[in-house]
Amino acid sequence: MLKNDKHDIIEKYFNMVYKLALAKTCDANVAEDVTGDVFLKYMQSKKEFESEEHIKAWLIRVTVNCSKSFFSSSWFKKTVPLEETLIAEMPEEESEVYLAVLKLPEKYRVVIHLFYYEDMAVAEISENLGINESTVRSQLKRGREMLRTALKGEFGNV
Amino acid sequence: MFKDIYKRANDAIPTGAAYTRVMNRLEEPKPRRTWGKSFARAAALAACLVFTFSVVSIYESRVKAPDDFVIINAPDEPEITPEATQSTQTDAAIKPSEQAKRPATKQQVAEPKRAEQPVVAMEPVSTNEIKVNDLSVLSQSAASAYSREIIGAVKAVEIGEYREYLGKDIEAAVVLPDGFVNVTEQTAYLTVDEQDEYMSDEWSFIFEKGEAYCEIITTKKTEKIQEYLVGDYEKSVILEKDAVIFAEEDFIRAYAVSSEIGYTVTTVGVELSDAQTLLESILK
Repeated sequence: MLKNDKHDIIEKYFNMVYKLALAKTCDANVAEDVTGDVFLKYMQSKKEFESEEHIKAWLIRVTVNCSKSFFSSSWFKKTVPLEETLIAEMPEEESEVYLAVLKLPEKYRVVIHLFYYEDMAVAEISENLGINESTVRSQLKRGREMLRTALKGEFGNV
Repeated sequence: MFKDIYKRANDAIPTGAAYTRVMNRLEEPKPRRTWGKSFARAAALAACLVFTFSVVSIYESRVKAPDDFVIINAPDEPEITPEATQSTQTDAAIKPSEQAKRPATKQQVAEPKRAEQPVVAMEPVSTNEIKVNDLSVLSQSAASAYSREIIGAVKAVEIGEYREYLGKDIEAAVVLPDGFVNVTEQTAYLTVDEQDEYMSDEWSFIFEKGEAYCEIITTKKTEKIQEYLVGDYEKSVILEKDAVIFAEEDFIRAYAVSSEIGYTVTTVGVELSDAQTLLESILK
């Protein structure tokens, strides 16, 4: 049985980790495995976390590093089409926007996701990912430009 | 508006089943420890039983005739492993190319740091075989090889240092259609371990042209890309090297390994023939 405090953390941040992994990998099965690995590391970690914010930042960093791109194993045979798993439940408008984000280059997807879905500030993204603020702004800027083009000005300002 | 829609899209993604599976995995009982005094006692008891049984068996039984044993033959073909596949690829002689190559495209950089590309003489293509997989099947579970400790120190790496590490200058080698601009970051933050070895060594080389872009992610840790190359996908052959290519409308993604460098190539708004040219230019 998991300890209550770690269980609470997992319950609280599961969606954050899972959806970040989805944004990074564009693959529901990969994202689920990555999520499991992240929380397994968390359970086994002997690291002393200073605060819950520290835990959150650690989870984000591990998730980004764990889900490096689209690498996956061919020995797990359960294959599910991308569209069925990720956007089956979405209305058309949401699915169009979501797929446009998924088609961005990987590093733009991450900052776009953290900025728009997790409501993280540039400084926070910079600290959590270990990259310069200027790099974050640059990646946000390019990601937005691509989205504006892909979405052809629909769905309001990006 | 975009933010609201993107949030709604993410909120619409079901997570309940995934949560249950992950929690079940985390709560699996740990295997019992098999060392220590209890193991030693059990081993001693087992040894006694085996000895006793052996003595009794030898005394009471007779030796079986050879034809009572069943011989299981080794498989006719060796089992395909990523290591074997990689070994095959790296050992294969690279024959002189007879491909058609386009004149190297002059690349204009956002920050003017690169010299013009020299024009390279071209030869006709005759050995490539392109097969495209449907993007909808690009979905598999992650490898179990995330067991290594991911958190290390973050190190700022200049692109020159990475170029030396990789052993290849991607920006100089890549051939793209006219008009693409190199927007690759010249500094990246990579994770290193206590011995200053890269734990993650991926670099994104990005080229853009209006709505179109090409991204080349390189790594020397090729194990996971090799898994694509031995998986159940249609294989393409580029410069006698295997590649796996997925495509949907104007989106192309390709995986390949060449000279111990793994490549993940993503293009949007690029023709398949131009993507093939791009792959040829970096895989040689």
